[in-house]
Amino acid sequence: MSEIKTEFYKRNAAKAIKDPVLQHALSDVQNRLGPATALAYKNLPEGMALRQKAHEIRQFAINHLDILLETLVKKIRDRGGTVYFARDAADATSYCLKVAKENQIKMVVKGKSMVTEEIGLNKILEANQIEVNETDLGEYIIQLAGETPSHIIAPAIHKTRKEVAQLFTQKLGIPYCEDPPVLTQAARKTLRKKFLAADMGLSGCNLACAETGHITTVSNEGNIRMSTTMPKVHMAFMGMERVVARLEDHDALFRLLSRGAAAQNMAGYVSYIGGPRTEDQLDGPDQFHLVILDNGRSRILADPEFREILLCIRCAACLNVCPAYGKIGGHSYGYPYSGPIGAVITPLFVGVNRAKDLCCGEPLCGACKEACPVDIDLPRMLLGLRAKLAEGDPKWGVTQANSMEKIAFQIWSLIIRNRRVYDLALKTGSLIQKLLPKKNGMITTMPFIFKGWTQSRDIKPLARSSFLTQWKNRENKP
Amino acid sequence: MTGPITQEINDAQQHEFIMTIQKALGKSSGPALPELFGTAPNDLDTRLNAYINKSQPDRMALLDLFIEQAQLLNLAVRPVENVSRAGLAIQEFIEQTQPEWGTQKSVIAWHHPLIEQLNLGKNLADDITLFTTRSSSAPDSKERAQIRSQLINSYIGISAADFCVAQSATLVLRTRPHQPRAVSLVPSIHVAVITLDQIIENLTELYFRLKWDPEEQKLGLTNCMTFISGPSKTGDIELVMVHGAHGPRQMIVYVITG
Amino acid sequence: MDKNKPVTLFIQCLVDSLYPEVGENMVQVFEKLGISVDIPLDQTCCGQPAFNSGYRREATTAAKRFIEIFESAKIIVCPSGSCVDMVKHQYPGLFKDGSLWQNRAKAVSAKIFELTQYLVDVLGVEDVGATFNGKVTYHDSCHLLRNLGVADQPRKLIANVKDIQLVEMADSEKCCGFGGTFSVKYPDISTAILEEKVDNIIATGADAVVGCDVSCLMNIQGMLNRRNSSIKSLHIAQILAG
Repeated sequence: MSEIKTEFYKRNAAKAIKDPVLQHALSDVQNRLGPATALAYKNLPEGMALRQKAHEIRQFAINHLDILLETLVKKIRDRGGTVYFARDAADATSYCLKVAKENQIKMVVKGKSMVTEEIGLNKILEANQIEVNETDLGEYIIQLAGETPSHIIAPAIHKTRKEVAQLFTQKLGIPYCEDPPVLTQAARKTLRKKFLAADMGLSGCNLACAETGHITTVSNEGNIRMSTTMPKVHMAFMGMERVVARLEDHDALFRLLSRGAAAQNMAGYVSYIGGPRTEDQLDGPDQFHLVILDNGRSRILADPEFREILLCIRCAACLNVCPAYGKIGGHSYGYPYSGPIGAVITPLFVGVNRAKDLCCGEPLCGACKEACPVDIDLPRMLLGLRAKLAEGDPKWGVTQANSMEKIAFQIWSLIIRNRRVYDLALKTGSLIQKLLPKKNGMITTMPFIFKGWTQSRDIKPLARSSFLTQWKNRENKP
Repeated sequence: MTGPITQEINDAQQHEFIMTIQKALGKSSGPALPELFGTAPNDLDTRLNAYINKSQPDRMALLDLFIEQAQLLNLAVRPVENVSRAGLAIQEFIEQTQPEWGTQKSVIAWHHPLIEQLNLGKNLADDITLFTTRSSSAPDSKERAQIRSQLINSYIGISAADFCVAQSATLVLRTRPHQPRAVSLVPSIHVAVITLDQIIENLTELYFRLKWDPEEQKLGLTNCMTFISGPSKTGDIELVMVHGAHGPRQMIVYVITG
Repeated sequence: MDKNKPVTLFIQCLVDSLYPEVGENMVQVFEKLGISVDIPLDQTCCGQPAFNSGYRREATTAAKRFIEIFESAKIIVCPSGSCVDMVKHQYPGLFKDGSLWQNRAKAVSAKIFELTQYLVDVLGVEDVGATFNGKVTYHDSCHLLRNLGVADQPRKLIANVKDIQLVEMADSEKCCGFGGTFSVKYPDISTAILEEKVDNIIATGADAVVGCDVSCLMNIQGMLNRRNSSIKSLHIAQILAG
């Protein structure tokens, strides 16, 4: 199980905001990828309609998930692959360890997989004396640095070339050089040895195809191909929702995934893998294992309000446009999934109360929905989570997060229900504000929770007389 | 987890998993398979015919599209009139390029009819070794180890392809005997040879043909089908695009137009 | 649609209590166009603050009150994109499907418009005969832009104001960081987002930033003031009334 640090959202956010290197990196990512993706969508021949189509394809798949998984699994098994259904993180990691031990695995190469982060796989393998090598350049960098990913697609985006140069000099012993091609070449050289010597390769699964019985992996670097071709054992991990029904469904989805993730027409490499090497083939793993993971997804599936979040294809387009993510970065979310997708799914996975800051700590601007290639209504679900925190919810085990706030809004609802009471409240407010410090007619310090506002900005005081009072007087003039 | 995972335990676990999903969806069983995966369209033959029998101008237009898209990916596309010209061009290329690691120049090529026609072995310089991945019908571990070693030591891998999708400059490679996946992956340079008629327009056409063309249905996708769109790359360091990550750092496609 | 049909104004709680001059200006714009307006005196709030914080029961109380007051109106116009979004897109979902309240909510949803939306899309007016001598930049409020699809309408109206110069800021579509109670509960994040917006505004060299939602303007004005900037924050009604 991945470490959960969602309780430190505010604290980590504040830290991130004060970090000029991180701020620069985040601006860079968003300035480049946000608009580029929007343009890539615009240039699609089908336009907006393609995203709606993709939404329907994914919705269809979720609605028939039982049949699709059974179809997928049977076909893989017919080709000699092994499939394991894992209830939760512990179940999945035990299985991996079991297979590793059975095959006397000493060294593993790994393609980037958010699911393996979610289940905390690396730590378990390492604790059992199995060397784990992350091979995606970004993941490799953060593995060397002992950190966690800060972005779903570009895990080391928070690191400057300077920091990478220092890291590589320190850990790989190469002469100091900040040039990305040189640094990449160093990683290429080092990891090549690992690819060729590893006994097991681990990958995720981007979107399986039920009809043909294949998982798919997507990358630009070629590391996933290396990890899933050269070692004798390949184990792929798949969130149970990551499947489409038909082969042609990939048409819309791969085109959108590539645009959503990196404003590309198509990712460099896509592999359809449906089983181990056949007897007459010269290469490929001798064993292919697919681990299908629940780990909280079936609970989400069972809730029609949140089922839509399972349509996500983990492209990170929402991260690239989110104003909150753009300031606080991935680490603030305290779990592998960050940004708007993280804000919805992490509470549903780890506990809504525990992760309450994730679903309350953004302005709900809606840019995420606009950017989502599968047209997921993220704001709707964020509002839904907030409603659960406001009232509590037995089904999801949510307790009311702030009883004082509830009372405050109850009082508020009494006030706005009746104009006379409202006017009285305004009058009271006008009196109280006389006590507050002002500059140039604006209040500079507010009391209680409202001082969050005035820590950085002034606020206009209540008008001497409300518009409606003035209007009433005007209408009553002879 | 203790003890072996027997078939019974595995089945029971799968059953429970699927039941959980069905309960979550509020259903007990779904519709019959054909409705889920689509039935053959009425105009199947017409569409297939149009896809397979493109006019020469259409084919040339697709070649142009392929070249245009390839440029964005640092993918070199070299049209050649016939197979012997291709052979000469590739031979020249091999002689002019240097290996990334070390000085020994070895090249590994698929055992494939089109590649055989290139006649590469005939005129290559003496200091260059050419390996071909022809194998026995059920290659044992020794044979596979030898190929693996040849692969690792080769700096150019030569393959053919099943299709070339012009819209995204994507080569589609399925896996067959005598045609290891690693040839297009492990060597520093990937050289692919295709014919003009292999170039198709887009993914829609690709998936349609794979799914509905009886010839393609016979083979299926195979256990590993790979899409390759240019040489490997990464932008993980400050989003600066670098060509040459873990897969080949250079890729050239020769298109035989005659 | 009859151009002289009376319009009912929902002026928004923030305008009512903090920026009555915006309400004044809005009335003046309608007077200029010769449209008589009705302003129900017991209106208060659309309920959005409660809704965005998850308090749906309390938001429903506000919604019911709003519906009772406004459902007899022919057309409702409001100077706030976020309020219009609340009424239009969230009200029906507050009530049980098929219930009488939901039908009443849907009826009200169908006839509420944001000010610029009303002027340009319904009335077909892009020039209200206003004058403003100065350079302005325009901030796209999130709900107005993304949920109501309003982006061109304010710009068309501004373009036709005599003597005005409109200069676009970088990332005008980016959120200002208000987000309702978010601004006080997550002040660090809100501030960081706002700082970028304010920097972009200042970089345009404009005399004023114009918007269609007082909540955003209040947020932006607060920081401009704190920074001792002379840049004004103006609601579009204040420009159009001139």
